[in-house]
Amino acid sequence: MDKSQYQRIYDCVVNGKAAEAQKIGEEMKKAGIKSTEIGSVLIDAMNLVGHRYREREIALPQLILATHCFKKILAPYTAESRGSEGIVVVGTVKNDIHDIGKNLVVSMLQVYNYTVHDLGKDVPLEKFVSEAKRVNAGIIGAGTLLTATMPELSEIINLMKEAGMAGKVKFAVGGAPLTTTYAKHIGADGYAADAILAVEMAGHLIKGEQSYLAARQDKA
Amino acid sequence: MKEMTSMQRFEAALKHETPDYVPVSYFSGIYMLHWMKDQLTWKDTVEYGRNGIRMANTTIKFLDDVGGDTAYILSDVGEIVQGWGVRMKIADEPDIHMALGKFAVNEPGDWEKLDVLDPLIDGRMPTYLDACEVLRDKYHDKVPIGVDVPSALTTCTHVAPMETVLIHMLTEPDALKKGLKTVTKTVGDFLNACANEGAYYAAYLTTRASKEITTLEQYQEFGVPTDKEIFKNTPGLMHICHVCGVEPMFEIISDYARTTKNVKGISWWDRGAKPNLTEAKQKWGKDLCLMAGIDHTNTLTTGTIQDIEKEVEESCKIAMPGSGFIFAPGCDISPKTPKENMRAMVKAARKHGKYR
Repeated sequence: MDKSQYQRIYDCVVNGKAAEAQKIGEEMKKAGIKSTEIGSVLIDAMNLVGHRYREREIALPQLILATHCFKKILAPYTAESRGSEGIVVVGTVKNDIHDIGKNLVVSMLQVYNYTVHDLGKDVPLEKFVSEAKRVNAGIIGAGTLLTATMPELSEIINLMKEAGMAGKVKFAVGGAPLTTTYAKHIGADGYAADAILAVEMAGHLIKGEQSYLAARQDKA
Repeated sequence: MKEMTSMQRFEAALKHETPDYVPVSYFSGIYMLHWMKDQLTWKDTVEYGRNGIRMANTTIKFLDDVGGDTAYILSDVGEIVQGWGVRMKIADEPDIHMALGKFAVNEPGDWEKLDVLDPLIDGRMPTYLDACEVLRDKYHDKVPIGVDVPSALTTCTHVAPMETVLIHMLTEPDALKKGLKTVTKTVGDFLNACANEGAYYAAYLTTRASKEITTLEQYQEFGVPTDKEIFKNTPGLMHICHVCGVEPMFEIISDYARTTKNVKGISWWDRGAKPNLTEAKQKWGKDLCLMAGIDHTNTLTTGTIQDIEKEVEESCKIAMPGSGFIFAPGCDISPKTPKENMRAMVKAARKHGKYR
């Protein structure tokens, strides 16, 4: 990849040029650029977008638009992803339809070469466990934005225990009202305060660390 | 000092005058239904939301049991937007909110197709108004009746998926503003109808006025003009702005309080968001009545009675001086909160919230 190609991808994500994104992905694929090279630029761009978001230079609209561009650029490559880093089942718990954060996590994990089984939003709790069993997942990731649905997270842990998964499959949580304290309290193995930290957390859990709670300094 | 009624106590706090006790309020949310399910003859949120008398009676029963100073009517966020054809997805748990299912706006061109709704006819707004009327007849002017109504921008994120609204802010601002105009008029009309039926205050849900969701500039462009129009057009109602994010825009809510007659306070998660109660009291306590005091995500849910009393006492010490304080959890109470903890919270607030 030459410098101008790098800059084109980077600029598209950082500046939210949604109309150009899909075309860029197709052109890069046609030009023989590998998905890992694309992924590397996208991560660079998302790192800047994530940094700007954390510093509150931008807010959710720009973050979502950047993610939208990110996905569009990657779309022509997604089918080829080998997903060799590990298998993760992800979803937003039942009775919660908020999925922006979850979608960011899915995209980031895919770029980092994880096989992600995205269950979507409003997911019945049993589905997390049955899907993890079916695909032999290493991590179940569950999110919620609502205080009212936070207790569902500990229900998943109970279901995992009943299914004999405790200690074999890691359980990670995320979502705006959650904290490291809450994650510890319910006995989750992992917690990440944002999508970028979720990749860091997944890496540690897949490598066999017992738990990894990745809080931003300003939230813990 | 003669004991005040809940209404006198609440009004005094809003005006920064000294009440007898710190008023206690809470967003009971689905917790109210969860706790009371054994006492209720109907089975779920759907039945609750279809009958205003049930809504009011549930509120009364809950207030009688837990205590507190406000009759706050649980909403399921669908009563307005169903009027535009938004479909609610019925949850599979009997004691949980309904969720938004099919949206009315999916494409930019859909925003201008929305019509202004009539609160006396459309959606389930008439049901909610029935509940206000029953509570007014029960409490007269003794207990303030509270309604929770989403701001125009928040309502837009119920009319369309939130992701769509946020992308339209950047890519289709004119289309979104056409929708906002219709939604603003509808929300204002609904609030006035609530006031006509006895509501004293609105927990006005400015949930997008938090810096992790929008920038100050974005909220000033899409949120502030519509919020201000609604405040101006609803002179018969007091407003407490509720922000559930982690970085509420106190500067904007404080400006509302300074420049309008009826915005009186802010409700936020003081134990998890910025600023905390101490900072808020110092910086914003003169402009705004602060509604906060206990962590609904940890202390109230998993703490002991002693933990709760300690946190209540600490919050009262911080926020009582100079009045302008309503004791409350930061947001909806989790359905797993023990009953004893709720009762302990109200009891401790009476014990440590006495002014003289």
